[in-house]
Amino acid sequence: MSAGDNQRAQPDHSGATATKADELPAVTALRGMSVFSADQAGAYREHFAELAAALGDDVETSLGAYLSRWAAEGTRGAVVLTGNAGTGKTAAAEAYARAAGAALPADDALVEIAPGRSVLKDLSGLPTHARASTLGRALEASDGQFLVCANEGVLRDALEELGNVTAAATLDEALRRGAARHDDITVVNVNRQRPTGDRLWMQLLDYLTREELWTGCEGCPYGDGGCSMRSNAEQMRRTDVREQMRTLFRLGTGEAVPTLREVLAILSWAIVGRSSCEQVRGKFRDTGLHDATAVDGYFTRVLGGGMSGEAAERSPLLSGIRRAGLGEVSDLEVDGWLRDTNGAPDTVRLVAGDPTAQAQPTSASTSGRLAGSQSPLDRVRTKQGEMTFHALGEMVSTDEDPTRVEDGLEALVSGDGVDNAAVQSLWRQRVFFEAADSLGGSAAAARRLLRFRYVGDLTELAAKTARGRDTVIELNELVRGLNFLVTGFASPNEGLVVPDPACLFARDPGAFRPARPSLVHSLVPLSKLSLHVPDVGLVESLLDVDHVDVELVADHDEDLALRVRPRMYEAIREAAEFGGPVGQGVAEMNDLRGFYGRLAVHLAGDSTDPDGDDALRVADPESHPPALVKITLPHFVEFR
Amino acid sequence: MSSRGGRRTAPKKAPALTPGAIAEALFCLDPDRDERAPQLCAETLLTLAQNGYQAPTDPADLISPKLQRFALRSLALGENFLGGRNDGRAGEDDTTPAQYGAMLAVGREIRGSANLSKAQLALQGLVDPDTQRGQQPGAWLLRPFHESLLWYDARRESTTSRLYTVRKVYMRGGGITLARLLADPAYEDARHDGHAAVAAIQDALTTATPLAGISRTLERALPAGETYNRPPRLEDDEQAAWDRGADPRLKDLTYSLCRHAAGVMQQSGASAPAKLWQLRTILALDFACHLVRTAWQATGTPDRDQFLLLSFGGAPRALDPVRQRAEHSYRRARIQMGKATVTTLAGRMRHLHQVDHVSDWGGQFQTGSPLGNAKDSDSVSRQLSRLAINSRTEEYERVARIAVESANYSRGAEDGFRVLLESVGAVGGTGAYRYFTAGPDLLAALVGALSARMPMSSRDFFAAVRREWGFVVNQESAADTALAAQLDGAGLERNARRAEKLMSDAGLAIGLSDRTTMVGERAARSSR
Repeated sequence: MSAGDNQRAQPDHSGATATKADELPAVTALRGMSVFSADQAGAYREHFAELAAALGDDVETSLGAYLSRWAAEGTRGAVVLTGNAGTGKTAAAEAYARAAGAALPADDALVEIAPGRSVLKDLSGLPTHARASTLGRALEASDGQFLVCANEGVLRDALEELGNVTAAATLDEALRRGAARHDDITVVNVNRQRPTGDRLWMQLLDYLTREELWTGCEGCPYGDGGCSMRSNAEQMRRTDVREQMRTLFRLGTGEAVPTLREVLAILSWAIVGRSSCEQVRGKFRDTGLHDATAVDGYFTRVLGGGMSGEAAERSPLLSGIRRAGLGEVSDLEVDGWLRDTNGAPDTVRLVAGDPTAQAQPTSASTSGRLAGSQSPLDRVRTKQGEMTFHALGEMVSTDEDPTRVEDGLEALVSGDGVDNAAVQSLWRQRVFFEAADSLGGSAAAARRLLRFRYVGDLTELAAKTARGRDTVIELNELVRGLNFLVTGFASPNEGLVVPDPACLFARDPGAFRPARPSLVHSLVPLSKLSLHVPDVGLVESLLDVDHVDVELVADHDEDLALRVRPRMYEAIREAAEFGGPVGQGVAEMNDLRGFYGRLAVHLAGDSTDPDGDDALRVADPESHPPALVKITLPHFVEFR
Repeated sequence: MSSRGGRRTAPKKAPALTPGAIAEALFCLDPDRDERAPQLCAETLLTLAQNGYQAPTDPADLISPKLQRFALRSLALGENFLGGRNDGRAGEDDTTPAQYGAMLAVGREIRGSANLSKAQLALQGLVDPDTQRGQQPGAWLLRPFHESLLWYDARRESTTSRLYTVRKVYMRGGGITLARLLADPAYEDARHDGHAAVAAIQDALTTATPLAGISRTLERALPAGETYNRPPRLEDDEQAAWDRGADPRLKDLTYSLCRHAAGVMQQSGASAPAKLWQLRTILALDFACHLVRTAWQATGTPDRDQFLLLSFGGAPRALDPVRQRAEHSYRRARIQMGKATVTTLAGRMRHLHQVDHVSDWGGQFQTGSPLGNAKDSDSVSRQLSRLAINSRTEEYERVARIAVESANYSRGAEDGFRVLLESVGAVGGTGAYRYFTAGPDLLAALVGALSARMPMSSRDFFAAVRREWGFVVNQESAADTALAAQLDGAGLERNARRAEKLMSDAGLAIGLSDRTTMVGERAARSSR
């Protein structure tokens, strides 16, 4: 089928569709946005026009809005956008050009797109010898506006060659703080843009799932419960589902800086995967409801379901999301609901496809084991045929035929042997997204079903810190956890215990062997510690930011900061709460050694006098309550 | 202090075909399967510290690294190293050194001390776990974090004796040679890095720490000048190990060691113990790389086969082709070392036969070795004696192969190489499934060693580790190797991504989403 056939009818973006298409344009567009298969043309800006025809105008980022305002105001100066491919630099430049009443130039050159407004859309597109001089023209002009997009390495080289100290210093500051401005030069590090920011996250999901895009193709089996793509889009319009998904993406972004391209690719994969409308219709025609099941659900695809582990590894963001272990972490109550939905809350019974939980039967409801099914998202495949989560639970728990029970159990824990998605994993995933309230809310759902039990607490702490609220209690907990991690001594009463840097090597916080006493290098009182979020100041007004991690800073010195990302926070909180071995690896300990090493050097002057034999202290994990114990060395008369 | 002139007797003619002699002939160093990173590092640092962190003006003035610290180690290791020392008094008029050592070993309070047992537990936490094999506390070492925590291997004089003396147990002189390479490199253009490294090592080893106070106080109580409280005389092989540092065959090792040690010790953002821990890794790594490179050279290994593939990630072995190739890479490295040993042994046999006209072949092997058994008509010495004087090289190689198969020549080659790499976390797996890998500590050392050029992108970093140590991590660095035809690029790129992730988790790199990872922001020298 040709593209022309596919686009027999285009949506008019007002919600109405003149005639039904063989394939929804949104499906074609989303398939092209994936970076996980060979067809990924839609993921690149050069092909955005085709996407825009299907999905409508770009989402408006804060950066795009700022540049549009700047273009309209006409204030003189230069703005340099630096960041990696896929972060949205070109899209922001397009927004600027649009606001200036022009189009983004096709060439990589400094082009005056409108009077007094020039754009260089990619510095690395220029020949090496021309980069510094062109950049110089933009940065040192006495009049007009100049917008330059450049990767960091190329930009740094060009600035070095140019010898522009102010610009180089601005770049350094921007790389540290996200954005910086000196005189007329503003440098924005677009890598610090967070797609999970309040406004941008909703916009991104609307961009892909809004109702007007998902009106259905010709002969769409959605109404009969046979289209997983529209069911996915429908669920992803729910606020609670979006919030849960945001938690996962926040976890992923805590491990790698996400690009918009990657976020869109993962979301697109979650909705359509490799499917096409024709395939979905064909399957429904041939097998009815039997070939559309939960393995095509967004709740498993957003974790890389349906793709090989190797393909998933291509995306650092997706790898980070997968590390959350959603589906692998068991919860007695959630797993129990699958085996017997009778005592479960109504929301859970609905999710399970329990026919008795529905106010009125839908058109998709049929008899037998598919009774109560609303969409492919509540159906699973077993050797006994397709059935709802509810029916599988009934079969496993009450059926008297041992073969059926065995087949049910096999589907439950190992999958159906075809796509190997274990039903209990699919169930946990779906409950996490669609029945979080039944688990006690979003934070509780994360605590119960993710490997990162404290991710909710971390984002809450980051938000509090960003708002400048009181974080003394949380700081206390952090110090308690850190003290345990590095010394095995779980008390914040003495402040942050800085062990002798040598003793840090004696600690393995993952080991079951009890910690040995550590010699204390110095103590940092709680009053000298503070929490910060990395993205503050100018960057907040220029970029969409989302506070997902915090920095523990000693003595208000940026060099004495420990970045607490989700994994580190997990280790710290586990240590504080359980006072036992923590689940994180040696890599975090390496990071801690660096932090404490810098602290020890900084505090060398305040430390115990190394030659004062009577001033040694150890943090003794065995003392109850935890205490610092003073060691007095023997006194000898000079023996010579 | 060691005694000076006239202390050494003329060396007797050593057998020329022992494993040690062949390893020395091949590598110009004497690796051993008992000498791991901790021993190599301790011996290097002891040599530097004992000689005031500089090369003696006259090589004959070299001071032995054999430092006892029996009081401190009695406390730290819970073993009385002063047992049997009943002469003199330690600290108190009524306490012999042996009694003093016994009290320290059990952490009992002495002369107004308090909580000495806590200090003992703190010190026990610092024992280098890599040295705690076997039941010989005399060979246990503390991590090399301060000058006052260093000591030399010790052993009881006999199984029935209570007297401990310092002697070669696992330290074999390799550390003395490495100390020479750093303190007095034979090449003018390596001197700057070498001297900078030694100065920074001195700073790090003498940094103020409460641990030094413990050591000083306890050692001060021992009577001065006793044999167990002063370094013994320098031995011939120690002098030879120092002199070996000027051998031209160690030229490449000299350059790389000075460069890497200076990189590690001059990096910013790391504490003194962290730098010294990385130095321990680099000393062993550069030593091991010298071994394998020498073997490649000796066997004429093609350039495309001269690499060590590092595998990262926890995928099941059966599903991980990079892991399987890393195992193969490890096996190939060992095979080349074995081949190099055979070639060297055959060459030496031929030389002894055709040039030195040796006829007593039994005397050329280790005493008691079956290779030199004159009564066995199939023994290697008998086979050698049957060879015609004008035999071809292949004949000597045949006999050498038999010798290598029936005696422990791998001890000073492949096995020495293995234990060095195992003790720095560069080899994972066991038995036939061993493979090259790198943990956070090793990656930190690699980043530190390249600190002069940091920060750099992960791509540049992988290119640099390929150049410096022969490690292949990503597709680009495998392009000029046999791996290009054996592994698909995607597998190697995934491998690189896993390495980047590990570095990011360990705070060594910052991962960016477009697959760019910047390595070593913190390790970069502050002057940059």
